[in-house]
Amino acid sequence: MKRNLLFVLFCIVLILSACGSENGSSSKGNDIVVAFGSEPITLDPQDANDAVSNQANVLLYDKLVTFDKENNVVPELATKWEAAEDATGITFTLREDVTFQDGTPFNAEAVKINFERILDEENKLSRHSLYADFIESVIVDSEYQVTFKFKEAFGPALSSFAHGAGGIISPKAIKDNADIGKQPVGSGPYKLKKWTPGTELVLEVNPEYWGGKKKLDTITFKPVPENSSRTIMLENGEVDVIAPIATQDIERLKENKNVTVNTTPIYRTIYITINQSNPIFENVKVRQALNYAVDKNTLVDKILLGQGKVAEAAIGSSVAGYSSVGTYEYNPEKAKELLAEAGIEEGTTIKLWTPDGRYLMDSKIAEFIQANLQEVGFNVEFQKWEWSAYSNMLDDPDSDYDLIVNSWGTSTGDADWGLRPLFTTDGSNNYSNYSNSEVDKLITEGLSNPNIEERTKIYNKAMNIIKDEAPWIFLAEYQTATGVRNDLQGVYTWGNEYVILRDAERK
Amino acid sequence: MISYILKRLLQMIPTLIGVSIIVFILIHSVPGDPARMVAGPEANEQDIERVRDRLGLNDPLHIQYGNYVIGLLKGDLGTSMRSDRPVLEEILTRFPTTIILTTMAIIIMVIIGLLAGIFSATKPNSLLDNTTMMFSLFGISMPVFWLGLMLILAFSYYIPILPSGGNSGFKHFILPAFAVGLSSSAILARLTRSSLLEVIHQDYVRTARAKGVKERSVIFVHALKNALIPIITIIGLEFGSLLGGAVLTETVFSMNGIGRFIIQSIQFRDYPAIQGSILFIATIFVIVNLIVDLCYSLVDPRVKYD
Repeated sequence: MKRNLLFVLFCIVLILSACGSENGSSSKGNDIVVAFGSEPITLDPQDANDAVSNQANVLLYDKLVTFDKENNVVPELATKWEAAEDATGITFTLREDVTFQDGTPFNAEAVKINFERILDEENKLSRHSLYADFIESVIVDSEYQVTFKFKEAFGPALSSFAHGAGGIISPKAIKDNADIGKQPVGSGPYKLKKWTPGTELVLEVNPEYWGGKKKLDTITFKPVPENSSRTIMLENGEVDVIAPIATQDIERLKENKNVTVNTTPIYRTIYITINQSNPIFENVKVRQALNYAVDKNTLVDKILLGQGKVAEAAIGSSVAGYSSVGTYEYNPEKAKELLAEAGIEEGTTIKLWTPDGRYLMDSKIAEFIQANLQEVGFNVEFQKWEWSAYSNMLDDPDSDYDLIVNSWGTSTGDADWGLRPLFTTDGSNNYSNYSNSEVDKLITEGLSNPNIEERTKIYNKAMNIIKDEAPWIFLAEYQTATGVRNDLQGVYTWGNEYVILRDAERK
Repeated sequence: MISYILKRLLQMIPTLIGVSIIVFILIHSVPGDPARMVAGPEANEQDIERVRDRLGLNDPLHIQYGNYVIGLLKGDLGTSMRSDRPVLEEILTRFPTTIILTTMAIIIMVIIGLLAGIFSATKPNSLLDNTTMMFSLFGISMPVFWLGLMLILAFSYYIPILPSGGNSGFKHFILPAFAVGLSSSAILARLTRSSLLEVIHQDYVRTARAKGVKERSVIFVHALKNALIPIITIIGLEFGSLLGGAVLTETVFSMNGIGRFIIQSIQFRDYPAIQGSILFIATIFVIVNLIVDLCYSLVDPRVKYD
């Protein structure tokens, strides 16, 4: 009896071990493995809003226009474009040699079907508002020419078309009502080979790619949530690319001769939102005092360990339309003076809340600021939050926060998306409850102007007002670090934090 | 025996209904909104509202629970809000990893823990006993994720013979199984020692020795059999809790198991995935407990289920 039991147990173990047999995900030859903190959520570009999904989608799909290494907008499926002079529309001329991975030819009709899909509210796609906010209609002018009519003048349209959500899906897959999120059909250089949820996503080269077959055979995405595990896997060659690298591991990786660490400035900034509906913060002197009280340089050097720089405006310096408006110097004496002028007594209690682990060093930054603010006489109540509860708190009108740590990635790479949701009176992410009619006017003016030099000047005015009125404690703009094995080249990162593998190849 | 098993299986039903209600209430009372998580940080109110509608979160709670139970009765655990895949599929993809890791860890735990305990008990207070007990104290005090990181450093960094993470082959399971198995074997060793020491001084053991039974047979056949009851209990408990996911081990070794799936689902407030996997684990736990109870009657004929 007992012997039988043992035998059965033995058999079970044997069978189970066989289930998990070795499969070809080694990082040798023209196959590479990349490790990110999580796995893609959806391969439907119109529904994706996390970086990892978008990093896979960039390989699977082409867009009308895209970014180059320096974040400039360059042609992809469109060969050229012409914006209407009053910025109320744009006409794209399309490539004629493109077919989707299912053999369907690419043309203006395909573009129309794609954008009508995302514009249709019934489809409930999570990127709907990115295009629905400004596109009125899509018109097929000819087989290879398509025109977009806008609801109002919209200057930053081109960046929005270069956004990941602009990936063009095969119209046949859309008509067949396929599950695009799991069975993607694009025209990109790689196509889906296999997706084992939670374990790996394998993409293989598309031999028919219109831009010429790429050099790698497969690219495998692995989710590795633990920072130090990711670093070790890169060091011992189990994976070829990792991102992000934990700040404290960067120096060690730089000393490894098999590995290159690429540091790229990104659009993302980190800042503290000051809730102006709270009576303490109504007075602009108090908000300015908070800015003078924080030692931004030490924060960047000692906490971000150089992985960033002090923010000189409300948006990151690589965002289109950026110009520096300067920083508040670190001056605790001046902060105390301003607080005294505003009649804030020493020992006034304020709350400082932060997510923990959502943004690079978020809670460490908050702890540092707590000390800074206590030095100028505040009693700071500090609280760390789990991310989901934190974002729920942000949306709750009754949550009554004072100072909250926030970050914004400006995913289109254009100043409009870095300012409009955050600083206009009815902006969707205006957590500081900031309102200034002049700023509202300038941001709308910038939106309707197609000329980037003129827009930069307009945004400079707006950002100067914002700086003086200090609805935030302006802190830093981030950099991101990507680790790459030395036998791999052509890996770079866009300002929107996507690691781009389209041109990766073995040396 | 058969009727006992049937009775126990029937008792599972109220247990599982209870679990499903408690989990449902708990996850809905924790702050957080899955629609916000699905829509992403850049979403505006309309975006979130659209997603909420798509996910069926606008229905009143009792309707949501009703729909869930109706689904359950049809064998449908629902669809993950995060990945849009059936929850059962998500669980079954990850379950082999968890069960292989658990089985290997238990084997390591039993071999090391049981042997160490037996040797300690046969020579109490000797150098061997003291050393073993010292190591086992060390093993109990050591957090399993730290041991995991040390094993990675030793065997995939300094002596790169084993992979540091993943779950695509047998090799990938060796380090995590040792990390879990070694920590658990420490408890087992201590328990085996004390349980065996109790038995070893009883009359029947002395009788066995007196009639000339070999010492090895005295310990392994006569004494151990009677010391096994608490040992089986602890093995069963460990098995059950490991099947619920060795969360830290799975995270450190980047293994795609149930534990990591639950944590990820909780962080995302993926209600159907949390409910489904907790229910799944509860079922497994109840079944493992039943098997443990049945094992008692195997080792001790005095235990009868009729």
